[in-house]
Amino acid sequence: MSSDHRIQLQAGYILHQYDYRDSSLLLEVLTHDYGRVGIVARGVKREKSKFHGVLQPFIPLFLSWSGRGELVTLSQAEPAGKPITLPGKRLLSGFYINELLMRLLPRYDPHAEIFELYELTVASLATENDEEVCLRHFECKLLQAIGYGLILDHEVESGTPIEPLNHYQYVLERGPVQKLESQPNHEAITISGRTLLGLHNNTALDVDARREAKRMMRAILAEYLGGKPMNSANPDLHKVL
Amino acid sequence: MPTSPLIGRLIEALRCLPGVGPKSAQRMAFQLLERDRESARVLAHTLLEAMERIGHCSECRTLSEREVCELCGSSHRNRSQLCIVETPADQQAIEQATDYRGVYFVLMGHLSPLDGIGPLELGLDKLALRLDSGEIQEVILATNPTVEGEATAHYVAEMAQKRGVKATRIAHGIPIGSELEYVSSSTLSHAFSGRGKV
Repeated sequence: MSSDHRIQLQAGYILHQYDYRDSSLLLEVLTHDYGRVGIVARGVKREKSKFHGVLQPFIPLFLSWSGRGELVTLSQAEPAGKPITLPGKRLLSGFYINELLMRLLPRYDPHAEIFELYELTVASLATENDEEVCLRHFECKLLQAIGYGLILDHEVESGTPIEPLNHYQYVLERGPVQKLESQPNHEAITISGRTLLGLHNNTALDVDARREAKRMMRAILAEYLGGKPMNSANPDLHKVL
Repeated sequence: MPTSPLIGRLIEALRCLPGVGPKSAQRMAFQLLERDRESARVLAHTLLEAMERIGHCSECRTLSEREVCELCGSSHRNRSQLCIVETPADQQAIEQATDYRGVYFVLMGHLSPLDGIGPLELGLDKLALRLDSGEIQEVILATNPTVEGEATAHYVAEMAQKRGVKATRIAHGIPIGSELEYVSSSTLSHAFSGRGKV
């Protein structure tokens, strides 16, 4: 689907921007009604551009554009409401969720619930909320919205509810199964019932549970990212030289 | 269509310059060929020499034809202050606008996690060695006020903190001579939260 008419004041967030020709930018934008859209912002790198300081990631915007085809042309951009300021230490998480959307969401595939999820996640990253819990919740809900929802509350083979004190193996593309010591499955990820339920209920996780949850989500996401690792999860970025 | 393949090649080559399309490239080519062959020769020689000889300063990474650039080698600069900028043009802007007498470190870019540009691509391992030497007492973060510039500033600030070096960030504020009503809301909110005592 492509838009072939003028779109006025669509709520959106810039996920990433690339240089385009000499003085233009190609914006990758997450919008409420049109999904991810590629918008060319002409002449915005010139000194006199009216969009100076507006076209930045993590700022809620109203965007107007026109055109047909894969790339459309920006006609207006203005801030929508108060700007959110992600503190420096939270920016890497912001880049991470932006990259996930760029990688997992095709253009022009509208999901209003993903837009709302993104908005909530950015807002909660900007506060003192637990960063890891925000990210895991975002990952789970994003997978659910694009049709790869995870089973976190019951065992896939027997259907019995997850017990917090038991240990499970998460089999990719299926879900948690009771861990059997006699049949080690190297494909699967070991995870405790407590962590699974924590992810399911979006509740606070302790240090061990965070580590387990992160490892499991990284393995699950790798399946859908087609073998290419996430640039924003590069360990160099998280280790201060 | 140019009458000679060489003119065609010249026009094509001139298009590598920023803002130069086919029409301007053609005008430049004919101007040089018809009216100013001498300047064109000087340009050609200078271009060649510059491309051969200009590299990066081993201390601040800015463009320089010497191992250590003039500014880093100068005995009149205060070597305990180090200003971090993204590009040589930013360095030039600070030199022209301020009385800063310290030295610089030019990143030649900014952290851009989505494009795979991390700390090593910006030479921050080199910066780490400089901070380790103990000569630097203040790091002034003058990266751009964009999200990538902020992420870079935050990363370098953490490097400084780890070594007990003071890190400062240039202020974000209202452009001189502008009117509050027309300033972008993010600039205004930054300026407001970063207000100073008078």
